Amino acid sequence: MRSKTSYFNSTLFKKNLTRFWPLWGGASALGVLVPLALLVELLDEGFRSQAGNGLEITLGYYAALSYIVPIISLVYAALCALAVWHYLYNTRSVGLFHSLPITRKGLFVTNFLSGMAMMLIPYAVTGGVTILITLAAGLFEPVGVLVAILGVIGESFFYFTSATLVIFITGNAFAFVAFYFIFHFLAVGAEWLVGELVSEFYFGVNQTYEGIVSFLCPTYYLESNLSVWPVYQQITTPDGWIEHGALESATLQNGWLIAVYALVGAVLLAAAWALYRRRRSESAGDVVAVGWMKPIFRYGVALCAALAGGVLLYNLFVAVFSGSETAWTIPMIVCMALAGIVGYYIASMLLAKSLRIFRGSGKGALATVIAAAAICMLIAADPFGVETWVPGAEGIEQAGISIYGNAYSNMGGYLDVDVSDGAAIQKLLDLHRTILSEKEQLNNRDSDAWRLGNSAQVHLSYWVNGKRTDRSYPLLIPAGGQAPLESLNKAEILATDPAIQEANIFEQILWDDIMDSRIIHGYLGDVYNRETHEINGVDLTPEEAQALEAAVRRDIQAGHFGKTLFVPEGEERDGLVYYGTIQLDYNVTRKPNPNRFYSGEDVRTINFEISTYCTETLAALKDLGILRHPFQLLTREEYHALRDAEKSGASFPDSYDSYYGGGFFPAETVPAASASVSPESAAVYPEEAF
Amino acid sequence: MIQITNTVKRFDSFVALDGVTLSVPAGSVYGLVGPNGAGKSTLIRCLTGIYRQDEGELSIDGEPVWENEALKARTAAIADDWYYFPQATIRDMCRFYRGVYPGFSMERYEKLKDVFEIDERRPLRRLSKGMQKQAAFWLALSALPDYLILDEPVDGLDPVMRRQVWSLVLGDVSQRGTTVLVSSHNLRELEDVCDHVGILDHGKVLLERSLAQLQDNMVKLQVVFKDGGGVPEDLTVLHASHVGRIHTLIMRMNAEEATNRLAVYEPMLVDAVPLTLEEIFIYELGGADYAVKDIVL
Repeated sequence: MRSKTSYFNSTLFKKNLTRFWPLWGGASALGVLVPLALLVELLDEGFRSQAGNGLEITLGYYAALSYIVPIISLVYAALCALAVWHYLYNTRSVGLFHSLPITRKGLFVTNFLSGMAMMLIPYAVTGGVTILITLAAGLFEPVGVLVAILGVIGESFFYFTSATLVIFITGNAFAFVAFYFIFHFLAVGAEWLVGELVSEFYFGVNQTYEGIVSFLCPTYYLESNLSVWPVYQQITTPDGWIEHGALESATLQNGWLIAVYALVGAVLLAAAWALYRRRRSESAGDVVAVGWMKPIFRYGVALCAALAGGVLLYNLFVAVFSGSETAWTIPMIVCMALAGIVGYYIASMLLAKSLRIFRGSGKGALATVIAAAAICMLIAADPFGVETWVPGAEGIEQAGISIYGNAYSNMGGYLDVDVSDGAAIQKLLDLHRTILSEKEQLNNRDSDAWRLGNSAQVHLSYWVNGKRTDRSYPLLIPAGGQAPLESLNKAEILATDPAIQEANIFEQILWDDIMDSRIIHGYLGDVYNRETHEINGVDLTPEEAQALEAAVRRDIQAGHFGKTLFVPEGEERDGLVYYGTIQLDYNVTRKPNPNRFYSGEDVRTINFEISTYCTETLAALKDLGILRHPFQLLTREEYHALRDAEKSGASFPDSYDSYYGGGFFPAETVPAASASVSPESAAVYPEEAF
Repeated sequence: MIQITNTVKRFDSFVALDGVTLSVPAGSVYGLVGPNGAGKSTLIRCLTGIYRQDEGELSIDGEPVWENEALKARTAAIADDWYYFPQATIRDMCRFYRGVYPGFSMERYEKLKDVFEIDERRPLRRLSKGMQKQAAFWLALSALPDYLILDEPVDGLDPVMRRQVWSLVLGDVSQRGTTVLVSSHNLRELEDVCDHVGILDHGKVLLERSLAQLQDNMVKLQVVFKDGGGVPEDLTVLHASHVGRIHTLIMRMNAEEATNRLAVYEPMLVDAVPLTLEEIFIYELGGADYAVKDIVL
């Protein structure tokens, strides 16, 4: 008859804590620096002399729970788990522990509680000292403390149970560290790898991590979804100015996620116990300690190697010959099969702890090759129509378009807007369908159009049912008299569309939370004075800026903005776009936002470049007297010629006179070009420069 | 009593124990011998609850060993290469054992301090292998176990300490009725202490006997025949050799029966001499068995 068994051994518990005191003691010492820093800050502010707000401390607790505790717990749980369970990794130590008069259940419970104690002691010390300081300073806020305690316990429990589970899966410390982080980031990594392969095959589908399974990556998910939600009451002066914001409440957003992960932790703990009670002591030193997991490990490594290594090999050695944006299926299969076989044998060597694993491994290697080929062919066949997918207009909540390729700067030289009105969305969809219909030409980089012409890149985004989907395509800009493709024509129509350009240029003052905007200042950059040969910016009064803004809007309506987007880089484009840019500053009134210290008045700046097509804007500058003689704007071509002349000491080329003649200044007012410019400053040019 | 029945233990495809059946009577000292890789340590690890057998049964006093906390509290084991906590001293390990083994006696511990003369405050990792082995005996014997399971226990001990340790162990056997299972690859070492012996090879028990059974069943005689004659052809012997006129005969029977058989030939001298354990095993197993050679050489 068996005697009564106990599930907790106090001697072992105490032994664990005393053996590993440097671990939790060191962590506690580091943790206590935080409240000590708070103490120093409070002392600097006069401690109790200033009326403090305990909610500020609560805000700190919640910020720690959201952004710091998950990362610290992720790493620290691994150390604590190694401390209490490492005996399983050594044949001698496992012999001692498993021959002691303590059952496996007793060892499991005692060691688990020891590990949890090690996890929580540093947090308890840090929190305890913080509570003492806040009590002394009159900043103690019980709700925040309670939520923080529960949150820390929940997160610590989840991370330690996950580490415990991984300990029982593995047979040595190196394998544990690798598997532990794989366990926590496998989902994200796998999604990324599949996305990478998909992007290789589908025209326009770029590698974009969508986070479909990010909930399986707890640290990432908690960091992304836990947040602090403060509510401030704005204290204003009698004349209406905001004096400061008083914190009214602090809430932990999505705090329930911690409870969910803690419940998951309970499931992991049950799984860990199931593994431990069946664990074979002789697995000490193995990479994978659980027999039925060995094939999963072997083929999992092979699959990951096939995905990652296959794409890498293809891009290193094959893609250069493909002549298209999408991958060749057969070479990709070969690359994936090669990488998969390497992964298969590496995994086999790790499992066998031997290099002699080739005999009898043919079937496994063949299975790996077949699996790699099947995956590759399945994706290449596009059974879900990913490549040809175009959303229905009715389901689109918002769409975005960005066109890059010939932009000089980020000041309006490219198109990057989000639209939600039906007409604009329809134009985007029309462009998308046209691009797909021209896939053959756009995807053939060996064609004359690709070799002789230029290319731009269009990026389309759709928000459907709250989920964002992106596509990215090339646009061919023809050269040498070639006819443009229809996709380029439609992109040009979009680029000059008044609604789209308005959103593009004035995006900064069109945000949803802006109630009102008032122009307060303007600035025209890089105006050349032909008499002093200086280049200076010109400040604009609010009235001048407002007149200029009206002219810009007229140019937008006339379709003058966006016309240079697809002009190939080089002389032609440089002759059209001005070097100087326009800046408009606005005072905006934002909707009250209780989650910000200060809200209400704010300053926004928009900055954009103009071209010779912007006749209304240029006329307004002339009418305002800003571009009166001797001041003029230089095209990029003129500006570079001036700089080249400065560097080489050569004279300003006469041929540039034609630009002045064709612009706003009579040809006779242009100074003769001669001599060099000052080496000291690009902004001051000596008289003899022209 | 330790009873092991049809026990099988596999490590992947390797069968370490292949249907082992043996029994260790209560209060006996049972020597488990066999060459390296025979399965001795695996059997001991199964018996101490470290490994779980794949098939068969292991019981002590009729109770299964696996996960039997009460039984393990009455059992102490010393492995060939025992584990101590890093940084631990003998005193630290004593405190740990005292908390884990309910029968641990501080009085015995203090008494054994005089026997083992090791500084109990020195970290165990700084002690020699022999001193670490002494520490293992010190702690195990202080736990006052009813069952003592020893795997290559005296490896690394000097001859004086070996005698000392065996004296302590046999003292416990006689005074407290402790049952001892001791494994070794060397028969000579066990000859003076065991009353039961089992030979293990390739995971199987080749032979299991009490020492008395073995000695009753075989005899070694020194004989001088009349007129300098040789061994008669009709005399059945396991082995015969001679130096000059003195013949040494090994016969499978007891000494009295052998003497009567030889009387027919009217020998000039018949003298029965004791067989060593080594000789018994050599002749019992046919003398040429490779396993036996391994354990006696």
